[in-house]
Amino acid sequence: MLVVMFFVATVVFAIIHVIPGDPAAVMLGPSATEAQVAELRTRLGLDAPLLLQYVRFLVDAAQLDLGQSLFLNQSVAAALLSRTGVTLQLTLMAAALATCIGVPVGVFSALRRGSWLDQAVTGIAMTAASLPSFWIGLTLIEHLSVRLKMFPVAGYGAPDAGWAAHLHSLVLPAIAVGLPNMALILRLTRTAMLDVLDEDYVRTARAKGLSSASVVIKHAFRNARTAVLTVVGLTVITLIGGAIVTETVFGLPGVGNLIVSAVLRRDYPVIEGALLVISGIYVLINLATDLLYLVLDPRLRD
Amino acid sequence: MPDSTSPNSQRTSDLAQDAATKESAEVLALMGTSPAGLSEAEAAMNGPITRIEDLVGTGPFRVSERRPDQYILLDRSEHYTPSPQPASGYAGARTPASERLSFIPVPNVNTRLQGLVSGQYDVADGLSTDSFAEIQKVPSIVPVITKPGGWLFMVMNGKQGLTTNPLIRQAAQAALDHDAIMTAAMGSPQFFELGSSLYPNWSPYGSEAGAALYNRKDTAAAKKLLAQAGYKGEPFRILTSQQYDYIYKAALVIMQNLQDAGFKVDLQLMDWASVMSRRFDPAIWEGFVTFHAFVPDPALITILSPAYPGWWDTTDKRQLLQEFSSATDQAARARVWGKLQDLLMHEAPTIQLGKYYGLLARQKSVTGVPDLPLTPFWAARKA
Repeated sequence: MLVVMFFVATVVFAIIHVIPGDPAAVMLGPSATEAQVAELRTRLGLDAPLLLQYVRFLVDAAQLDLGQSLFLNQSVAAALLSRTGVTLQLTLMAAALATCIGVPVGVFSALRRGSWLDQAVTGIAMTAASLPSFWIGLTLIEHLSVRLKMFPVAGYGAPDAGWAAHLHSLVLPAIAVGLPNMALILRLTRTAMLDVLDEDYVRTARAKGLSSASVVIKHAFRNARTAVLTVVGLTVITLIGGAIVTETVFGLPGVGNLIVSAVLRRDYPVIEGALLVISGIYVLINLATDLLYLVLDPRLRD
Repeated sequence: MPDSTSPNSQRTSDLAQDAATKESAEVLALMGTSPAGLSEAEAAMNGPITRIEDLVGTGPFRVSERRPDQYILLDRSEHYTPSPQPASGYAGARTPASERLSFIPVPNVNTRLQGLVSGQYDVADGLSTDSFAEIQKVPSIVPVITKPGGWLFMVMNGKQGLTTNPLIRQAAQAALDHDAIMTAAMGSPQFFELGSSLYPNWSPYGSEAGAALYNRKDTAAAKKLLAQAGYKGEPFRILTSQQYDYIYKAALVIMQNLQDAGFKVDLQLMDWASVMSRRFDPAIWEGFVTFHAFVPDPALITILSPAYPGWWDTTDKRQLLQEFSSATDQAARARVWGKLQDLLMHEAPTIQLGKYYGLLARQKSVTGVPDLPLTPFWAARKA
């Protein structure tokens, strides 16, 4: 894990300092002269040698100090923490939606293989997987927020909003980002189930007179679930990084929005810190997924 | 990402509005560009350059809470006494009409508009001028065109390379079709104004000096000037960004105009931060398109500074600028400004493409939102 994060830290640092663009120039705007930009760079410590900046960054990161945002007047850790809640809630809602619909429908579709229901479900899944999340988001806003006024158009609720209002504001974004992922989970579940349903032990279970439910849940799905777990884990990983487009469309103050803003205005500490944290989370989720495999499939323990 | 489709949203791409959640005395309004009194407060409390721990403030509102990317809350200042003069634009009495204003960033311009249409927000700033027709169809909201907004310029490199030759710059100036450029950028003639004078005729600095050189759309004259300059097909590199939609569209038309005149144009697309950074290197560009907010006095036009990328610094200009800076009365300043503007048109270091206006919209129930640039909201209230 440390090796991965060191590699990420180095690559990110190199890339953001190679690309043109300067936080001081962005901060001062198009009316600034070169001398004014240079003065601000000095004040912000951006004129130090790159190697020195890199070493400082690594040393601070090793002590869990991700530095201070150049634009937000807060530490990178505080900036991330204040936005992680939104992204986590959105991730969990979207993942729950995608899994709770995708898995059972995928199983159902596999059981009805070749039928018109299966084909309809597969077609809908392919369409949903092809729709860009920003289009889904804007369509949901148009119909459910503007016309029917069932949900807010954007934002995370009013400044004094409670948890219910916050969650209410996340329903449409969760649908926008969950729908394409639901389609992916559905198709993979269907494929995994189809592989398993043809196995001898499933035929044996049916021959023994077990109920359909028992055959499907206890025998077939139990063996297919590791593949499903993989794609659910990947979905969560993708969403943790911030559903950037969805957060932008819905004006959510999440991690994705933070990173995009940081890149556009070259807020180096936020870019470096956020990507470092996210890569760490990716590694942990992958680890958790691998451990869960061991729990779900005893054969892997050997 | 912050998508900026109107000039005023270069500072508002992270700002939108919020709906009133309390009584009608509170209006939660949009802060487009920083309203007077707030920008200094915010910079002081939260700026990256200076930090002040206890902000006293003397405006009609005080910053009570700021959560980056979430909201900024302004509450009526108890200790503020408005001027006894009658209110007139930015001048005179600034009487706060609401208890609280809240400003909420919404990066996507379409979402800002939909939030207003749905009633979630009271005011939406930094709207795309393309949405004007749609706004007019909604009975509950009122569009507000703010003018003047600012200038759109094409700055040329006077320090190094192709455009150090005044004939090349004059050729580019002759080739441009300002009507087409500004229509492409702003979408409708309601949102821009052409004219060689940088200042309106009601301003002491309004001047028609150099008007004959403005908006010539004369491809033949441009070709002749190019031939005189001995142009050999060197690339005319223009830096631009799609991050500001109107700048990008203007650059596209400029590219076409220059190509029609015989220039070999290299339009380089990048994000805005890269444009801001790369323009400081005179070796890598000939032109870039940028905006400049309207300022009441020419001394505040930063593009005239010799240190501004473009580096306009001729003997005549230095002399006139010195005269302008040392003039002691308004009439003298206005006279010298006329000469400076004439020189600007003849030497063409920078071409004023046009003057743009901004677009915001409010709920019909909201009053006290004037059609001024840098819209002040102290008088905003919900009926």
